[in-house]
Amino acid sequence: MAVSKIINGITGEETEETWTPTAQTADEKLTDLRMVRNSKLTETDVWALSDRTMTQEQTDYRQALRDITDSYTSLDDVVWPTKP
Amino acid sequence: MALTTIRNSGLAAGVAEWTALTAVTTNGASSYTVSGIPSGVTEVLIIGCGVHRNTSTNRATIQLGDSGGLETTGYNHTVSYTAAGTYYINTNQSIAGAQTMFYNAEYNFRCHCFNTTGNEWNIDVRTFSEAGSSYEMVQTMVRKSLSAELDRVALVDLNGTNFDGGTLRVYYR
Repeated sequence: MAVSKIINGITGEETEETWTPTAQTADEKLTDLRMVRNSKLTETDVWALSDRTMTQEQTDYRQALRDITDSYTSLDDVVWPTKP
Repeated sequence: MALTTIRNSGLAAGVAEWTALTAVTTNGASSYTVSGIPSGVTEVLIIGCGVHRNTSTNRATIQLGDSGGLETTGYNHTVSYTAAGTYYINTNQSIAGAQTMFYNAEYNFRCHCFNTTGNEWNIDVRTFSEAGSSYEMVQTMVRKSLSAELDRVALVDLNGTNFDGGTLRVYYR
């Protein structure tokens, strides 16, 4: 159980209660993972411009990012591919 | 010659002054609720100074509440933030409060809540922190419909990890 303090903002009187934290849902964790993944993809979008040719390592890195949710479901334990 | 403008520091007619509620030290609990916001208030300003997240691994949020207690659902977000030099954005987030901080660092924030219509509120959060050697920010916009009239606000660590430093100041008008 977690500790909660309730303060009457007018009188300053303070009381203490306990509360039960709501754990992050699996969907929330997956959303966080996707958000960070998308940022990592955005960082390397410049590699994929039409007047450039990606190396195989760059192609593999971006594909591994797209596939990250096949192997991981949260930021708690994700192992990111190494950026070339 | 440079032009200097000197403004009158008084409030324009019809502009209400902010009223401060009791300041709170955020140390030793994971949730701080400040009650006593009177009926008819249309703006609430929450300032967090030197708020420290201890070892928490989940978000610190602002929750709004009414006579039925704090509300923990229906916070429809768009949020963006930096972490370790990278910029993140999420335009469709729904968590149990308006996000003020994502990671465990000492931070300062300003949260401006303004009533739009009925019991619907917009929450605008701006956060600054020094995480390691970099300067980080969080900016959050949330729409939240309450069941009844707003009478309390809270700073809540969703993990239930105790804050271990800082102050919270709440103003209304």
